[in-house]
Amino acid sequence: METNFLENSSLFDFSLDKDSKQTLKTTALWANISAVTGLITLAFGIYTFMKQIGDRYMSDEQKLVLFIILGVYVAIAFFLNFFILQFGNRTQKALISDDQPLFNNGLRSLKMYIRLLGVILIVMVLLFVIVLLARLVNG
Amino acid sequence: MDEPTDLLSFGENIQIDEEARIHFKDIIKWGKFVAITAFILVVLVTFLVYLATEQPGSALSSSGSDTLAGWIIIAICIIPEAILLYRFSVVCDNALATEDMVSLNRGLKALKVFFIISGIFGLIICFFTAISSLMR
Repeated sequence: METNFLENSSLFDFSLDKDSKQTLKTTALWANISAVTGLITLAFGIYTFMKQIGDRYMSDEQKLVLFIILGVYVAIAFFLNFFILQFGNRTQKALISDDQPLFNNGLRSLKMYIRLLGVILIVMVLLFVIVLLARLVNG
Repeated sequence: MDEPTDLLSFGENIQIDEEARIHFKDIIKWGKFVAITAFILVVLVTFLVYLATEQPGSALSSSGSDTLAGWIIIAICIIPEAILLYRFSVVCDNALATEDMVSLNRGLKALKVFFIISGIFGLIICFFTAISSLMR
């Protein structure tokens, strides 16, 4: 595995130019805006949900199911936004302070974000196929 | 004419080193997957929503065109994002293979537009969620 990587990788690192640094700086800024608005929206969503749950009469089982669904949704949304925020912050700081390890950590956060998005999509496709098959079987 | 100093003074030693290259390759691989899957999922769900609204007696047939219109708006937001992510992945993949800085810049610009659109949607959704939460 390691040998494969060494065979495929370049012997020379290439530096980012002025254009790519400016693009990354803007990308990091908008990534931060996107993450912060996402976290604020999530907070408002939880507030509205709690208010609605308090207003309605529900059995304890129904409330438990709703809280589990909310918990999963909040965890996913939180980590998606957290990884984007980390990417934005680390990339911005790395470009300002010329910090290569921090830049690499920023890329790692972007990788985690894209991976999480990919896993969510795999789960969505599976659920979609299950629902479709269930409908076909039940006519 | 001299370049503005703020463009030249930051991140002078930042490189695409071996570690960055590994992260980039993973981002590219997952980026392609996410973009293609999201595109296919959006097209399939749009088709199914259309079928459900057309089918008499189905749960969606009463709300009909509103549901379809609502979903089409969501689809219109997701599809450009998927295209940008795919463009970023393909162009950066090529850039890393050939060490072509021009291609890398084109790829990074696609990622920039991806996050700009995400940020604008985020601001709009945040605004409406805040208003609806506070109005209740």
